[in-house]
Amino acid sequence: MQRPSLGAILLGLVPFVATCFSVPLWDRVYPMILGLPFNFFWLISWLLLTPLCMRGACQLEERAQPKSGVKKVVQIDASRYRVGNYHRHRGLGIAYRLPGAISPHDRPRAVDSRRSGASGWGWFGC
Amino acid sequence: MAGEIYTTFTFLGASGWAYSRAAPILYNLGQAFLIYVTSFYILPLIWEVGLKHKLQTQADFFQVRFGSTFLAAFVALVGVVSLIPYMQLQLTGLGLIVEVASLGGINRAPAMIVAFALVAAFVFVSGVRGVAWVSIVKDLQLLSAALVIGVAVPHIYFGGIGPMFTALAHAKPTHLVVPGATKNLGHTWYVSTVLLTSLTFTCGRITLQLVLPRGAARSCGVTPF
Repeated sequence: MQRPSLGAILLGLVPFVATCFSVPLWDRVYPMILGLPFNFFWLISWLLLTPLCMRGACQLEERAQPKSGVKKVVQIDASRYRVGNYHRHRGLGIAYRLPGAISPHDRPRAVDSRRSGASGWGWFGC
Repeated sequence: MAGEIYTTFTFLGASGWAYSRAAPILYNLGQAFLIYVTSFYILPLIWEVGLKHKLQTQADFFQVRFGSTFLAAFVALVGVVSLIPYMQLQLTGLGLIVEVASLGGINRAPAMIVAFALVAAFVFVSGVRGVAWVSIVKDLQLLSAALVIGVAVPHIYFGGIGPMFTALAHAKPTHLVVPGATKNLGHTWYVSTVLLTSLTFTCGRITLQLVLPRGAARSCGVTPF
């Protein structure tokens, strides 16, 4: 997997700037909105806005996928995995189907080796 | 352990904190969504590396990444040691819940021992899938209880959430902004705490353990904690 693009990182920084580094700016009681003190309202609205930022970051990441990478067909040997195990992770909501991620449920398909992580440690190893 | 991030702290710890310290508990609301922002960038990498190298524990990760058995052993040791206060917190909370729910009929210590034995037995027998189901059932109960309490209590005592906050703002206006009832938990504390929790949540033993694709390992061993 590639290093996230600058745009994706900036989008991820937006909630941090809005709710973490800027506390003195929004930590006040008035104006009360929807019956909530302003700081409660601010945090709850960012609870709802943060997923939008991350949706944008995710879309940027998908778009950043190189179109003319080195393609190779990865044959997934389903017998090496216990089928069904990944459903557990999906049930927990922590299965990441990032572009290029390999799952035992996938049919053999063309995988871009530059993104698939098959080439090494991704940007962890940089 | 059995179920993950919504624990005794969610009910007892957070509400107790809000009661004794007032507004600083906002940090808990503030980090609740930021932890997933950092997770978005880091967890897929760990998942990918875990899948590729068939890692099962946090120590395995360090072993493979840095090629050092000593480091892996150290990480495992730190992980176990740091789990002790966490377990103590959970078990104390559990004992308290049983003691209060039984109106003092069952003492805290036996309740904790029985509960610990039951939980450990359950995790060993049921494996990962059982833990996942427990977390679903428990989170549904938690959510409904939180909704009922959060809506009903303000409605009964104040006639709604808005009037409750208005009354609170009149009675104790300083309790609703960050230093709250404390002297030292100011804005600097807020920023550092939210940063710390949102950055380390991803790397914490508990979360990492859930992300590492244990199913990928052929042996599919169950790691109970």
